[in-house]
Amino acid sequence: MRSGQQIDEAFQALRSTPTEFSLEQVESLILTLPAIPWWKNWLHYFNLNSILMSAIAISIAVASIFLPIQAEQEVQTVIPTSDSIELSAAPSNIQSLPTSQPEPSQVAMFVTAGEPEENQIIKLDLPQDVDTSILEQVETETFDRTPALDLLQLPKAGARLVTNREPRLEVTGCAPIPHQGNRGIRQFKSELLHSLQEDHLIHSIRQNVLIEVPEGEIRVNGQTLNKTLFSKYSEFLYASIPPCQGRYLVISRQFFGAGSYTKDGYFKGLSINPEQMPSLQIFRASIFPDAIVSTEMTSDQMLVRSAEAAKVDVRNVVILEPSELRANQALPLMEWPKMKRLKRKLVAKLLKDKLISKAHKKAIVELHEDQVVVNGKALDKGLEAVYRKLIAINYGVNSGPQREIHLAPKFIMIGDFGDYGEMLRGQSHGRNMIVGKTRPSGLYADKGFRLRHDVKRWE
Amino acid sequence: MKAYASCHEPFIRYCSALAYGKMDTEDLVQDVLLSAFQHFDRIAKKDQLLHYLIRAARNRSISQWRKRKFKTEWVEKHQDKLATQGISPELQLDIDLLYRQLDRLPGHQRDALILFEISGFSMKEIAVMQNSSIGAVKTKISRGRKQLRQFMQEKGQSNPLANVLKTVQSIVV
Repeated sequence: MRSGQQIDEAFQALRSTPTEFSLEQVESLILTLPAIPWWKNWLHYFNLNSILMSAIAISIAVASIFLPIQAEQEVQTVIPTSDSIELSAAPSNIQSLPTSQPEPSQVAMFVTAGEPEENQIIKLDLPQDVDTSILEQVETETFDRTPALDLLQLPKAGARLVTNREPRLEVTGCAPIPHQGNRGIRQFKSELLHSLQEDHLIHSIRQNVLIEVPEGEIRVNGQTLNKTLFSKYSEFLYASIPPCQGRYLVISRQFFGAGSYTKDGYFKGLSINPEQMPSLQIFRASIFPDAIVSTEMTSDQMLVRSAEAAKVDVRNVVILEPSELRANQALPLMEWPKMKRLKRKLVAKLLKDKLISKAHKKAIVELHEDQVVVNGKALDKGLEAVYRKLIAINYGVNSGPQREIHLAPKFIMIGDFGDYGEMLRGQSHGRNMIVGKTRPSGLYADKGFRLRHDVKRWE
Repeated sequence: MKAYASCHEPFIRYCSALAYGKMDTEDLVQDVLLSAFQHFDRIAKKDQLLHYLIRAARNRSISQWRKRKFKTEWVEKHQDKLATQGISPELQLDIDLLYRQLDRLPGHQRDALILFEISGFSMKEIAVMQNSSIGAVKTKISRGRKQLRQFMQEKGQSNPLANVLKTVQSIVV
């Protein structure tokens, strides 16, 4: 088959030959085909797409019907029962309470940062054997005296109360804390911290602050305010957090709390970020140094066993014990700019006198009663007088048996130092300084100092 | 069955051409008819049942036999059937070669050629089936024939005698 004619002949043969199957054969074949089951007859109308879309539409419809109903039910329940206590924070919820219920300020508030303020319900499940008479007592008291805190607050939302460990209110007769949103509290916190910094009561707004209100006075980190500051902060606090005896303001970078501590160590009051409570150990330790951690409590309800558990930030440290401060007035609480100026002048003076080199701007200035020693070298009388004038007269840092000034490019430390080079009390500014006993100041890492100060015995 | 009766002959011829050397024509016909029977309600235009059958047969051939080669057993079976239909062995050899070269053509050209030359459809009908114009169908058929003729000549020149003898032997046996 080479030509087109032969191809045509082949096609013609295929076209003209009878088919492989006759019509009768196909008819018999069709008759043998299985009939479609009745349930398959309409099933092809349903495919995966239609099933998915129908399911989504039904779930949206059901959710739109049931969710509003559920929300209404949650708002209506506020009265504590023997089985559960429900506490509401949202103002809208509080306003919806019946008139027989406590005022908004008397209703428990529990505000957590990052969570919506509206319709925030905290439900604390209590076991059957919880003594709820305390709650009833609190409720009756709120009508008579309008106390500030009828609050039950745990560090973490939803944390389960331990049986018979419900905190009893200790604060009475206080003006109530007006309800504020998260934004309002944060603004108040910021203003307060800046005001404290301006008044040199704290050195940084990042510092942890504990404001106590003993009878007739206000203490900020253990420092009692004078009359001027007392009146200023009384007015300042009264607008947002009225000060009263037994009320504390606990402020850290992550946490803000205004309320009272119970004997058991619970903190009750208005707070932001209660989950950050571990950072407040230092405050609790100062208030309850002998507090014992109960085995019944969860880690969320952490209490400080002793003050030793408190860890001090190694950046911009101030170690000032109030009693020590009163006994030794020679150690001033200096502002950071003033410390920086002192550092700058001291370094310039030391360079000028060739006591340190430009490549090695590190120095330890020991201010003894009888002499001034710079990097282990005692100064002559002329230089000593110059340095005493600069340090003691201009900046108020007097001499003492352990008084030293540590200078390094990144920090300055002024205070009393122990035999191991650790700062016992004083203040520092900058970075990379080490104040602990186990790892003393980085200045001692210098080889010359290691020899002079017999560093081997530290290791 | 009434709808099918008018489609029977071209449909069977088309299926025979598609199934040649690859599988049993009966299987293909049965598959397509079963599919048509089950989905008969979904066929919008009942008068175009033939189009549906042709398209279904082509799709099945594409999906199932795309990579299949010619198998001797199927070739023999089809040759037997041709013999029973009164085709001479010489013509059977030509038909076998024709089918083999048809399989080498591009799909659209092969379909158009089979539908036109074997099933006996008109150009217009093929155009409707393939959703194209008459001119396009003409082009496909023309190019397909030209290509087929070229394949045949190449085959005749390069085909060793042994292959031809083997084919003849299979036909005789």
